[in-house]
Amino acid sequence: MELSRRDFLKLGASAAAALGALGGTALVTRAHRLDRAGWAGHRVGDVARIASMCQGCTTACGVIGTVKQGRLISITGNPEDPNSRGSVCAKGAAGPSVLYDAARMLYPLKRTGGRGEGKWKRITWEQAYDEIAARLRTIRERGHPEQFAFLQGRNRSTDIVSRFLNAYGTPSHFNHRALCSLNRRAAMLATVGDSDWDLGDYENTDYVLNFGCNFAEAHQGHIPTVTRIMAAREIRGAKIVTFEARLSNSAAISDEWCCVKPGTDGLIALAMGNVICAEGLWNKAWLETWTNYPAHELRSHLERYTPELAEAESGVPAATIRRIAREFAARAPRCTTISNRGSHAHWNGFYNDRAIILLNAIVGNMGEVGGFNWFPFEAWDKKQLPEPRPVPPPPTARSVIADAADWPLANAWRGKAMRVGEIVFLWIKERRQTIGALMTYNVDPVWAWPESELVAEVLRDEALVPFHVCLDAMYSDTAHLADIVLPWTTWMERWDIDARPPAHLVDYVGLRQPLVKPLGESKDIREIFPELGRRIGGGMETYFPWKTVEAYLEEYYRPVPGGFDHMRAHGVWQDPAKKPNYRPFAQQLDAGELEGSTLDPATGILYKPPPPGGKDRVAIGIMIGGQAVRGFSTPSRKLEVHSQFVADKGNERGKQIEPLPIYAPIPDHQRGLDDRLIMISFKWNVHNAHRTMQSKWLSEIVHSNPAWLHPETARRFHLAEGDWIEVTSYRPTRADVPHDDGSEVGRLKIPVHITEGVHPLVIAISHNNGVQQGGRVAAGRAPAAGIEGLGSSPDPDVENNLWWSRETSIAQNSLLPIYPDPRSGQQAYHDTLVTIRKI
Amino acid sequence: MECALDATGRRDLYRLVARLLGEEIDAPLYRRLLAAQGEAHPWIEAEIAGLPEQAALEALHSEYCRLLVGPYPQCPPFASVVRGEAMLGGRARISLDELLASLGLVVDTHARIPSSDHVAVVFAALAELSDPAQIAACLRDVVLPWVPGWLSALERAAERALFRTLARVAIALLEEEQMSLIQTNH
Repeated sequence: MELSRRDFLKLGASAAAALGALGGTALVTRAHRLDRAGWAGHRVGDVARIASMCQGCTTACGVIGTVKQGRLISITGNPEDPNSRGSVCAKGAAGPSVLYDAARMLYPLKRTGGRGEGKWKRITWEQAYDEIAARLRTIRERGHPEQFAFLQGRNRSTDIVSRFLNAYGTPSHFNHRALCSLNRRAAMLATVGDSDWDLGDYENTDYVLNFGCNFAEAHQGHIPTVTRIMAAREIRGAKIVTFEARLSNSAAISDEWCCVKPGTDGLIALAMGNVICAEGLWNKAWLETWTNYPAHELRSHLERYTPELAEAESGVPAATIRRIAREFAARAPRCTTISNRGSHAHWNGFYNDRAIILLNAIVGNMGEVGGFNWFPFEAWDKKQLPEPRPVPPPPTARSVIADAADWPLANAWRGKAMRVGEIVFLWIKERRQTIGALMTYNVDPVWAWPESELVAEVLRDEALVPFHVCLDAMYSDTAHLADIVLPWTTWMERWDIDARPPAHLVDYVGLRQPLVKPLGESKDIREIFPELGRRIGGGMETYFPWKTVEAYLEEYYRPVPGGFDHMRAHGVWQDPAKKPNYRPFAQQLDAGELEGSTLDPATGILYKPPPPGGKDRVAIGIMIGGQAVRGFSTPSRKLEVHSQFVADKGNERGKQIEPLPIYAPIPDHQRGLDDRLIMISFKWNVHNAHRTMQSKWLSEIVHSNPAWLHPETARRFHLAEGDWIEVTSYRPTRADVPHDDGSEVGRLKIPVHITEGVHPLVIAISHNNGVQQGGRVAAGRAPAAGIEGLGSSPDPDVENNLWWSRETSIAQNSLLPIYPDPRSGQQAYHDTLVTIRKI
Repeated sequence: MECALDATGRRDLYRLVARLLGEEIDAPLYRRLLAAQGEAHPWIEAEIAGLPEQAALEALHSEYCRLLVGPYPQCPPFASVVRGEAMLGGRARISLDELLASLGLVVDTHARIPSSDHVAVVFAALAELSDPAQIAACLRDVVLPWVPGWLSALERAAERALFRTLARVAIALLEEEQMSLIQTNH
């Protein structure tokens, strides 16, 4: 019998009724609203979930520590963190392996033999404080506070460090910015002015044009960036094109990888700009409205940078350059560039990044949804959450080394002193500044710095550095040359107020809080510096009135709704009233902001009178199309294609700095490489500076660093996979850098890895290896090169389970010459010429 | 065979071992050891004894640091490390903590040890025990699996008589303890 549809429905209904009568569990039930507030600040029995922030690197992702009976069990991401949104990488997840590393330094140590002999005795904190305070007090009372030098590596406790050093009065506050991101920041400041850090609106973009940024592994914000770029690809079908000398993991996950000769990214960008302008694909109206250089003159300027020239220099075909330029322009305004050390850590890196930023202006994507953006500050809103008073004033003493006058752009922008870290020890050796005491904090220059043997030589010399205190969590090559070693807490045992450049263009504030009590007698600088300040005295103590760190932070977070309690429960706060920082230059000035202002009719710039105590009027905006708008924080209040500011800074120091973005070929790379190769450095995602190689978990993932060579190069030198070579490096010649005499810097022996994933002119070596004093797990070892590492270990887990113990791990940094970009001081990490020979 | 130590002697010797393993020797104890030492196995060798007291103490503190504190101590004194755990203070620490709790003992908060599975804690706990059953449990569960081997390693690694002699004394003490337990059927 044929059943009709109606019959079937009746049949089904009776069966459904029968099922209903039976009861049972539904497959899907209505979900309860996820109580995200319960993810952190939550305790079940003896298990607590504590919100904090990672410091495995500088990205400072929000994390949740799961703690049972006082022991950290795991680190996962904090979904409430608006930047990292619950993601965390291996470095963060490996937190327990760092926290409970049996080789951690947990007690203050004082050396008993000569520096570098490795003989120590344990002292008390009382003894350490007494000696350090006495030394520093003597220097201060002599009237030369600048003789106390502080060298920091990764510092996420910027408030307490500045408070201590300013209260002391020393300007000798050295950092590693020139070894990291100086050129990128200088290019942004010169061009945009508002910020030194670009933040593409990656999640909303349709095209990412990447010049030398390893955003998936080694970017200073890699988690917020890569998660958004991947989201754009998945949701919007965004295209990612990467220009890099090596097939990094970022290049590998891109849609296209263009292999470039190091130092030519800027030329490619200029050639693209040429194509876009010449073919009328530009946003001429945007250029005419918002930049300080006539569009037709810009087009003329770019004409010399042809795709053919770029091909001849970079190796990227002209047709590819044209195609990508057209694709990029076609996606505007939902397109953006991203760049990092691959483009800017070069002798010509400042110019390279200026050219890359210019591309965005040419297509008019600046400040747009999906386009090239930025944020005015890279931490929390310090007007909304001001530092608790009293705040010490900046020092009045001068430091020749910190001033780094030879590099006009290193400290050109007020409030953005970047210094030139790689010349610190050279200038100490040259006695350009007397050092009475040095404190190194979370940094390992003996391993990390270019010409690292020079660093070791200086630190061994008690005439040059009479007193050296090293503050770190693990013993290092630098700690080995200290007089006193202070055991610093890991990021899982301390407090910080912290925040990073917001990838979502809205600022937030975070809290780093102890997940467990500090192990042993390790302490954080938030405890050490106030105590030292009180003991040094002489007025320093007035800047440390809080009895506990918590009391200080409680005051700091008072403006947050719910205050410190909210921060402890959630780990972050973001003001819901704030909106993304799109088109900040077009924001109109309201009547209140305009009150008291005057217009300069020649420039259209609006000024307010000088503030109390100041001499100069203050620019607040500019008239554009009859409207008073904010404009850019540059001298012209426009995006500066032409920067007279940088040219003037150069002239002040007798150096020529081109005001327009140009291509400045690297001198040594132009003189004919002959049999030389260009050595570049790179970083793995699981490692960060000297801080991670001791971790068993992380080193198990990456523990060796063979030299990458292209098959063509291998054939030229008759090399097969695994063959050993000796690499000899040379200082640059006639490059306007210290000691540019082409002399030999150093040699190392290393095996080769042959791959098409590297430019034929390049030898690529990861620098995340070869710490000599970092313990057996981190130690450099290359038995075939005579580097045996540290021999057997009394730790059975290391002795029996270090399955990679014969892998090659060699420190590269000793081969790098001190090689600052003459304009800015940025270390040129990727320009060193080397020779290789099979051994 | 009669026990070589009475209860008081046993306790004092455990306390001495715990003291010398738990922190650096101080001046009063140094002087007492100098006075008490024998010819065959001196506590303080002539090279050290001949130094001014401050220099002697610094030499011994440096050796203590090299062996037990770091950087990268020659003989990491933690059960968790010696028993091959990946991280400091894991399962072995929990076992020791549970044992201490069952015995009504806690580690002094002022002790300069970062994890309660420190070898000094073991000897300090033994010093507080008198019940043969408890001593037997402590030896079986906590001490014998790793401490004798660790003491042998200490003896081999030590460059100063203080620690070589200490290791030998501690080994002898534990052997004596085991003998005593066998005799009392524990």
